[in-house]
Amino acid sequence: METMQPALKNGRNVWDSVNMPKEEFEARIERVRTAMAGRGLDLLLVYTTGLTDCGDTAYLTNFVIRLTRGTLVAIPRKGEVVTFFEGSSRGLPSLKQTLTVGDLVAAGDLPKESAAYLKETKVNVGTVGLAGLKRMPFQQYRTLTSALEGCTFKDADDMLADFRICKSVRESDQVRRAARIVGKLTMFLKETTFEGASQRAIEAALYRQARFEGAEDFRMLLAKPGREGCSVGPADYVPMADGEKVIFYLGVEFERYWAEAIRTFTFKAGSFVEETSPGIISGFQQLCAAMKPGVAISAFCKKASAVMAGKGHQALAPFGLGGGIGLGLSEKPLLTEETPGELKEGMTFALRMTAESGDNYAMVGNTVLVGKDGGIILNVEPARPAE
Amino acid sequence: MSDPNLKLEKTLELINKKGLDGLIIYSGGTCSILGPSYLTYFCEARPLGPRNCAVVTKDGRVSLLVEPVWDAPRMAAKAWITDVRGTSRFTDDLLEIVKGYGVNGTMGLVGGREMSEEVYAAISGKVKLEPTDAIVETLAREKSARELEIIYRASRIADLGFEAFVGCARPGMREYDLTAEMEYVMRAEGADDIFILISSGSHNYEMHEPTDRRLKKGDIIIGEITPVCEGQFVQLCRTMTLGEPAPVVYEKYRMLLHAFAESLAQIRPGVEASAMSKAMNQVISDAGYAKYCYPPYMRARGHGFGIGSIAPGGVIDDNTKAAFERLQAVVVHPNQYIPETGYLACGETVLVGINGIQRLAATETKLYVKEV
Repeated sequence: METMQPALKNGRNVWDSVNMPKEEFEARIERVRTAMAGRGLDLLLVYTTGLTDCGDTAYLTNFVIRLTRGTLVAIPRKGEVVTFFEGSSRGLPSLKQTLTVGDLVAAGDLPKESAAYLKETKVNVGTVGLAGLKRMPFQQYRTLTSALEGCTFKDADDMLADFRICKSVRESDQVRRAARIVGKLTMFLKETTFEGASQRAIEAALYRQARFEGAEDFRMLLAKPGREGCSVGPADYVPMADGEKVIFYLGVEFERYWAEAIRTFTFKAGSFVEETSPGIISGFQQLCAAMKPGVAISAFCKKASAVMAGKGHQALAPFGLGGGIGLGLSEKPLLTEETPGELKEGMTFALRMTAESGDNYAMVGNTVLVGKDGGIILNVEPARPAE
Repeated sequence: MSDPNLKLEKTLELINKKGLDGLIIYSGGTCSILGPSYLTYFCEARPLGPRNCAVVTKDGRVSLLVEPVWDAPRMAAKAWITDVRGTSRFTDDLLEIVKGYGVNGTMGLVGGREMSEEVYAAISGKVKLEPTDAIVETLAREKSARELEIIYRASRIADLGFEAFVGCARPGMREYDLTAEMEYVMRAEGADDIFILISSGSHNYEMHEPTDRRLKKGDIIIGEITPVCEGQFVQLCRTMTLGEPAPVVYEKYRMLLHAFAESLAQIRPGVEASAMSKAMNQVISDAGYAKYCYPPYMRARGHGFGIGSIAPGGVIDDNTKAAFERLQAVVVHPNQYIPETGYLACGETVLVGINGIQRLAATETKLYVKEV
């Protein structure tokens, strides 16, 4: 889901080398280099920008620029990997604390300075693969490609997506940690009284809880389905009305990895009461059971539609059935009947299910890992001692 | 909404003066501390998706195109533009609007720095584009009452963020716990977004995003506290110690306060912004720290803040030629690395007044000592 991008990732910014050791990143670089050799690339340039879609560069070196600016990772077939970021050198000492491989270079003028660096280190020769560069601001793109005059450019946009689709055990553990925070937030919503609070005040409280749990980023949307479709948007200053039904979309990033949850509540006497029904719980379990390795994604989506239709429901626009989640809130593959390929062990999905009939609806979404025997829900609400 | 028709009227004047057939005001959906938000300024609502624009014809027809499709009702409710369209085929729909309006000549492009190559390549083949950020920059030179109200509101919220900074800090809490408390207070008071940098320790080297570090008695804690309201940033830079600091910290902080006062004294309309930076660097250099006034230790001595313009610029240093203008919001910060104390933060956002500056912060600019 698209969410409002923050001006800065204000949360905990730490590289925990126990959770994600350096070797994990070195192995990724080796895999990329092997793929580069297969495609005849001498140099791969990977660009990301903004704070929502920075998964490709984070995948390679763990670096995430904290401002809404650009990052460019240069991987030569041989030699040091270099991460360039738009910013000043003053921040280098702390930024290097989260860089896992290669060097980090601050660039006031990203295209000019990165091209000059590559020229100086003599890696700007031959065939250069470009991944994500078309998303670079056009003036920067044109400056960079003309500064690398003499090189042959090849589109390599698809190269990293394939690597990122199936998560390693360490990666799925990171998604699980993010999902655990999401679970705590849904519990917090249910256990807290918000009498008279505006949507914004509730969001502020969720931010605080998420940050206390170590979230580096947090996103939230509210949805209210009505006769003319589902209205979705960021929290506003309006107070919650008694008896109002609302869908919460919560996304949490922990040490670069995202997880999401969607829950439906009715606001009663200052509290959020979760809308659950045996139908939606059993329906979601059916979807997870169908999420088996080897099943075609299109077949899974058809099955999901059938499960929902069997209960008289359909996927709620714009949420849909969901899609991949990991270093991005929204990754490949999308869960649609048109998506090629099959489910594989280690994939992580944001899986959503709607129970909607007329004005009566409920929606549930969880972060799900494809295991050997089907989907495993990673969102777990903390257990409470029995009274 | 503040006089949107006046804003449109002035835009049309500028479009026609430049001989353009229309204008595209583009946004990549981000909100940057060091850049203006042209589209947010123009339509008075912040877009959410990655590609959005307003199309304005020279005869005054206006459309707003936003991603994702489902964000169109929200934008329609918040913006003054009545023709708001959601899109999942951004470039096709943009070209359709331009064609529908019968624009054949050159269109000005505002916010081109946020436009990706794939978008630019798709539309520049069909529409002749001329970069012209100057149109919105010119509009934004005159601050409306609404903009001033937003600045004052953001300033009050920054003060509250600072109160949380001092009030919540205690030995044992982690840096990220402290920023969580500050963020909470500011969001709860109406900030749309927050920009916080922090550092703690006996000797800090720079400010950064919060880490796992636990605060200790004797720490010097520095913070950049920056709430954002409707695209307007306002910043406070403050230093606090947990427990009585060494006398040298007081001594050096007094020197920074002197530098701050000297630099503020330079600010008035018509004065080159470099004068502010030079005055600050002079005091710090006279104290024996000239080498620490420049990269890699220091970069900017301040910068502008604004929705439609960050004039006099994203970096104010000794070379900034732009002159201050009335009602510009400018952060002035002699944040400084000093070998004896480490990095200290000192500064705040002020408004340029007719004869000098107008302070926005209610909190005193001083070294704060918290008993622990």
